[in-house]
Formats: sequence, C-alpha cells, structure tokens
Amino acid sequence: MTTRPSHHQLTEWSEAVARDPASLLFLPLAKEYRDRGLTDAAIRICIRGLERYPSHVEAHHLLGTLYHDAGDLTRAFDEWDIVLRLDPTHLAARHLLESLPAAETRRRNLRRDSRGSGGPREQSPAGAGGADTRPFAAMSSLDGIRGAIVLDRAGTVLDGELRLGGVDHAPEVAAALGGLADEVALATEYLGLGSWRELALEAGPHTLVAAPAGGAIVAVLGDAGVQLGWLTRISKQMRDAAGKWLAVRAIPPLNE
Amino acid sequence: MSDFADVLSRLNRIAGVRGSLVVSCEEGLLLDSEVLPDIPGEAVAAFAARVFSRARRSLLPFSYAPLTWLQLSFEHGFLFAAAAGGPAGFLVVVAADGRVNVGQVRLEATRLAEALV
Repeated sequence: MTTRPSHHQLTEWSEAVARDPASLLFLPLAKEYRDRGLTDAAIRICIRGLERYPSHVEAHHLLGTLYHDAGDLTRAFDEWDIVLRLDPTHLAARHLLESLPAAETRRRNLRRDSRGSGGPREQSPAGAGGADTRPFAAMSSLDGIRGAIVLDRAGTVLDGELRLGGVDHAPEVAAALGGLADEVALATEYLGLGSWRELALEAGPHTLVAAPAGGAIVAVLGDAGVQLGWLTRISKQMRDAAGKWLAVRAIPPLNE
Repeated sequence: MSDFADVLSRLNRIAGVRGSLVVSCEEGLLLDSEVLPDIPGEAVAAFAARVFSRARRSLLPFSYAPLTWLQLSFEHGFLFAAAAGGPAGFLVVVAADGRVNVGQVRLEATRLAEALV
C-alpha cells in the first residue's frame, strides 16, 4: 500500500526541483500533482524533467497519461509511442496505446505501416517522386524520419511537413531556418572554408539536418534512433531531388 | 593558463583541427581560444553563438531536450559546436579543415563540454 506524501514532503520535493533542475524528484512531484487534479502543472513539471532526461521512460509514460487526462489523445499517443521505442517491453504503455479510440490508432497505424517494420531503408525521394511530384511530403515514409521540408530563403515552406504530436511544425522551423543561409554565408568570410554544404543539429531525441539546395534549403528531421550519418545521407538525396523539383519551378540558386 | 587550456589543447591535437574556442552561449563572448593566426577568434565566437541560438529556435517546436551539438559543413572544412550547461552555459567550438575525422571531434568536443559544467 502506498501512502500519499504529506504537504511538508510535497513542499520539499517542489523546492528540490526548483533548486536543482537535474533532480529526479520531478517524477513523484508530477505524479502527485496529477493525483491532486493539477494536470497542467504536472505536464509542465514533466516537460521540464524531460529537458534534462529526454530518455526517461517513466516520465514519457506519465506525460502521455497526463495528455490523455487533458483529452489530447494525439500527444498521449506520441508519448506512449516514445515509451515503447525506448522500452519495447513496457506493458503499461502498450496497454494504454491499445486503449486509445480506434480512429486515433488506425490513423497512426496507417502511418506506421507505411514505414515498414525493418531498419532504415534505402529509398530515393528523387526516384520515388520525380520532378513533378512532391518528394518532400513523402519523406516521412522512411523509417525513423519525422518529416522533411523544402523552404525558401525567406523562411516560407515550399513543400513537405515536419509532424509531431499530430501538428505540422514546418512553418515554425522554416521561419527559424529561413535566414540561416545568409547568416552562415558570413562564416565563409571568417573561416575561408568555401560555401556551406550542411547543418546538422542534435537535441535529445531529435536530429535535424538542413542543407542548401538550388535556390532553397532542405531540412529533414529524424528520431533518436536515426544516426547522424544516415540522416546526412538522406539529406544528400533530398538535395538531388530538390534540384530537379526547383528547376521545374525556376527558383534561382542561392548564390545568384 | 586558463581552466579551458587543457580542453583546447586536447581538441587541437586532432588532425585537421585549425583551432578551438570556449564561448559563452548567451552573449557569444570568447572565453578562451587556441586558434591558428588566420582564424579571428572573436568573430568566430560571435558567429557560432548566433547560429547556435537560431538553430535552437528551429528545434523548439519539437524538442524537450536542449540543443547539444551543431555541425556546419563547408566546401573546405567544418565548424562544430558542443553545448554544455544549457542556454546560459558554454559552447566548445572547433574549426577544422576537410580532412578532419568528424566522429572523433564530435566525441571529444561533447565529452569535454560536459566536463566543463
């Protein structure tokens, strides 16, 4: 039998978490907040804890449950999905995923099935798409790839999507990356290293690779299980595809 | 000799590395550096912090986790940045030519950045 923490103990946990962002007490604190009906506060605590411990299985599990409490089934699915990726034997997360409404599960399964069950597959977006189709929108069918976009220098999405939690974040990412080409071009003056070829970023469970392609920039987002080398390889394929795609639309090269 | 001297000298022993710097993440100020004479340390520090900040914003919609590694590839070389201590912490920045072993720099720089915190 478990006993509820006293008010004094709760205050101690809260102070410990505020004092030390690395404290693992964020988890029991968030659980207790949930039990007391403070869902939003519990979500905030969980997210803050995951900033420090992005692979903490139980924190993802709890966050999924909190999203479920809040009625956000898409985010709940994503968090429990992360749990199963981190720990395929996590029965509670599997059970909860199965408990989701059929429509949500079916929608997610359709996407998962399209990825296949094996490891990363060699699949050329250029070969799959061709110049007149939308090769970037199809990138999320690659295993471990969250999505890919092509954007112009002004930060406008030309094609593709970067979907997480049921939401397409492409516009925000494109806006942040938009001025990057100009910014990075400055570095060539400082360093004498020639024009830029690629930018790779790693943040916990996600890796983003962006590269200039003709008159635009391509960006691809991968999950933690996708090695940087693999993402770089996909990025190169995307650049080839983008060259053809942009040529059809007569978008001039970046250097012009 | 600064607290960072050992970190810088270890990175600079990697073949192809042209210089390394420790930079304050938020302000882009150079804290220490060991670079070849043709590399302007202050300017590289400011540039690295600026790009890092923009890159962090690009990941905000997705990531709970802080940006820890940035790798910029150029026609003739690389610029790397490993972060330590969150937005108010340090960047360990490495400039290298095209023959550098990227994996080795990544390993050393991230390890050394973590050790600085």
